Amino acid sequence: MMPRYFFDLKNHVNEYDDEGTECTDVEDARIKGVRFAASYLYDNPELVWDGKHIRISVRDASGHIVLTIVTMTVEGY
Amino acid sequence: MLTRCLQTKLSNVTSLTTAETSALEDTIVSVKDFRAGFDIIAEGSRPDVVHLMLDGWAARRKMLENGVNQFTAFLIPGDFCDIHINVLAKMDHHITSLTPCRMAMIDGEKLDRLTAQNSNLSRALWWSTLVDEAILRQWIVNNGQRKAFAATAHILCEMHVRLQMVGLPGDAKRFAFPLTQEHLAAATGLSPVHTNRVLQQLRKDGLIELRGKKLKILDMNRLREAAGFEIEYFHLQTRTKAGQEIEN
Repeated sequence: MMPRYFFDLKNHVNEYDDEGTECTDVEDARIKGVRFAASYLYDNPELVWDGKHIRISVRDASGHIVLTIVTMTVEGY
Repeated sequence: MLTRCLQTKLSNVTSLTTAETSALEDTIVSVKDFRAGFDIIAEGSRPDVVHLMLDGWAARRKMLENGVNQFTAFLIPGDFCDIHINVLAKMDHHITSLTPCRMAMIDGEKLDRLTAQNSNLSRALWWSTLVDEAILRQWIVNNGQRKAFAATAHILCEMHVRLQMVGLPGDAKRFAFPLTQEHLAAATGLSPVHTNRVLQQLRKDGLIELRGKKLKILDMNRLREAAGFEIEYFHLQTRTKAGQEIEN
């Protein structure tokens, strides 16, 4: 039985992942999380603009946040 | 009658005579059972029989060098896996069982002779193949352009119609749906995390109930609207019981 990781999405609202997805380990959870972020942004590019970002926190089954993926744009830089 | 689902499917486009249905039945050489997760026909092989799905769910599967799977179709009872293999050289994809499957092994040459003699049957099988292509076109749109939510909803709408077309038992709006998140992800090119998210959203929006491998569509109109689903691509040409239920 593979461990389950939970991918909470935070932008203008918080969308908690109640079910989770099985991943082989943290590295697999990271890859799945980044891919999710990429396809979610592909569908919803308006969520990322100056001053606004989306954040995906990856939780393990014990509730510990193992990593967070943040995507944002800034004007200039 | 082993070809019952196939006959029901073809009845959406033509009426087969008793002689035609029994001739179709006579092309079956044997019946085989397969466990779930098995490559029933491997890419590169040259099957000596034509496979017809009798029971269970399978997928057309391409595997990339990095081990990633892309499904290009789901197969349910009444579907041929490789009807034109006599014309083609080798299988260019795998047929993989997703649940335990039962398949009829059909004598391809006998089937060729039958369709050569019988234009009604030949035309009906052409229709079936062309509808498979129309479905594939929708999958290209799912994988290339539709958003995750719409693409996933589209697959649910498609399978609902297809199950009704082959007359599978069950409530018109609540039916056996053995696909996992991984299967749906492989069909839409999404990450399983995104598929999971979309299924949760479909539930929260009150469009579906997916529990114990049963799918219940709670609001067909809204689900079809969310999917951008237009039933015309199935090219249903006669008013059948299934057709009427599908329209309602």
